[in-house]
Amino acid sequence: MLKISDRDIVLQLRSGDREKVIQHLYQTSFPKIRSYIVSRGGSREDARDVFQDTVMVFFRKVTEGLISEEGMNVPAYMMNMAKNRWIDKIRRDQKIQYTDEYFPFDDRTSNDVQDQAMDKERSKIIDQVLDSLGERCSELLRLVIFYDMSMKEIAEKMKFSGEDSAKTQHYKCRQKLIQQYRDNKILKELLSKQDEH
Amino acid sequence: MSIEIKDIELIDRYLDGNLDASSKEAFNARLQSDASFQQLFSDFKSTNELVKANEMAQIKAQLDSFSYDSPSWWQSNTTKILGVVGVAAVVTTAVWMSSSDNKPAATEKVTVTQTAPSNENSQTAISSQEKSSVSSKPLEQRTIVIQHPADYSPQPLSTPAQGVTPNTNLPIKDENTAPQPNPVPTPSGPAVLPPQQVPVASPSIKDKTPDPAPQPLVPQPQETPVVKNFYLQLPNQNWVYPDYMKNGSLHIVNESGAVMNDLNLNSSSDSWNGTDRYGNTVPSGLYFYQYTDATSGKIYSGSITVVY
Repeated sequence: MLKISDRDIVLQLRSGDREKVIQHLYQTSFPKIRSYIVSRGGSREDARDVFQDTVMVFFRKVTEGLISEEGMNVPAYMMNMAKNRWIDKIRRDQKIQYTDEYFPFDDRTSNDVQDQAMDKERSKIIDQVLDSLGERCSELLRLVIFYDMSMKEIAEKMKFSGEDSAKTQHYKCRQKLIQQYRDNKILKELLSKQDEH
Repeated sequence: MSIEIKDIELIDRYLDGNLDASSKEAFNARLQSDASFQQLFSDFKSTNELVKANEMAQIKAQLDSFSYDSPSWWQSNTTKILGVVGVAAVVTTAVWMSSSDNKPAATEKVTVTQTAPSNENSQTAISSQEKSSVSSKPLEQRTIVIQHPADYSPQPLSTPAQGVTPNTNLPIKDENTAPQPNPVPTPSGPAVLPPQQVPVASPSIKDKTPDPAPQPLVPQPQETPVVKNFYLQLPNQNWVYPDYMKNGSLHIVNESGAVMNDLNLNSSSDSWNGTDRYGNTVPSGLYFYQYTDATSGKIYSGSITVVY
């Protein structure tokens, strides 16, 4: 099993290295979350949904800087988030009268976090747009925009000669992205359809 | 419409909150007056959202690539848990009987033999992998050491517990975990599974065929039962409600106490088919029920051992 310390989970996520972290969370947290939900009358599908939702909220919280790596207990944090999300879900569905109380834990800010993940058609076109910028540009934009990394960190991670060089490249990549976005009529159509919904 | 790098830098700094008050004011004024700058500002934010949403989609794709089924661990764990619960119940019963007296205890070895599955229908709920593992293990013997009082005369496992006279000075044991001799004398017959059989049958979930054969779920005529345990083999059987459960509410919970089903019993309902409140058949395991009679307010409870 892949082992990463709690501190490294947060640090790696913050620097955009998500794949190993997701794998680790699946191996360590999912069995516990599934056990909790199944023992409370939930299905395995419920357990999967709650786990996925929990991971995505956890990601957002880390990348938005709301979680510190110091003294972080990731398994306990994931479990508490999952419990609250499960209580939320059954209260929303009103399927079961449930007396468990929320854990003293504020994580219910992004209920529709999975809705933010795009449908496959849109995602494919965005992929194409980002690919057309080149690997380095799309990676740089991903790290700046989603992971909110500083130019200094990016310069180090992507081996730019310095902060200024990374910054210049960042603006150039932004320029290319906006140009591609403006030129891509299919994407614009898809987005306008999405907005109508 | 060309895109100026310096405008991108300006928007980036504005959104990061890195502009001083006068620059911010100038920025806002330009947004009002310069349509192409306004468009760039809008496109800048739109592309930000696209990149974020795309990353979320990538995360979701990786999460979707995992397997979330893995019923095997659940089945095997359930079997283990039931095995432990069953053995613990047998031992608890034995200890209870031995503690009814201060006489020195005698030790007895009981060998429980579990048979291989013989009913094809009972195997429908298990995977082919499990099926092969079951069939390759035709017999399993377990040796349980039970302590009895010195004057205890052994009873065959398949006979009801009436032959054992409990010490009435002892408190009644936990009804939900330790099957006990029924304090109310009842007519003997095949109607209800003798309480001692429940824990013995529990470890045999994996082997699919309880030993001995399950008893029919016909209620035993009885005026005021307090605790009664049932044994339900799915999918062939339904739990036919006893006569005294005709009009009232029935709650069924699992071992953890989670509500599996809430039922309102009336003249049109006569049995429970082993489903939870969503219509899914419950997994094999130990369940507890509580029935509250609407007329008398009397509460009846006990366990239901569900096997496949």
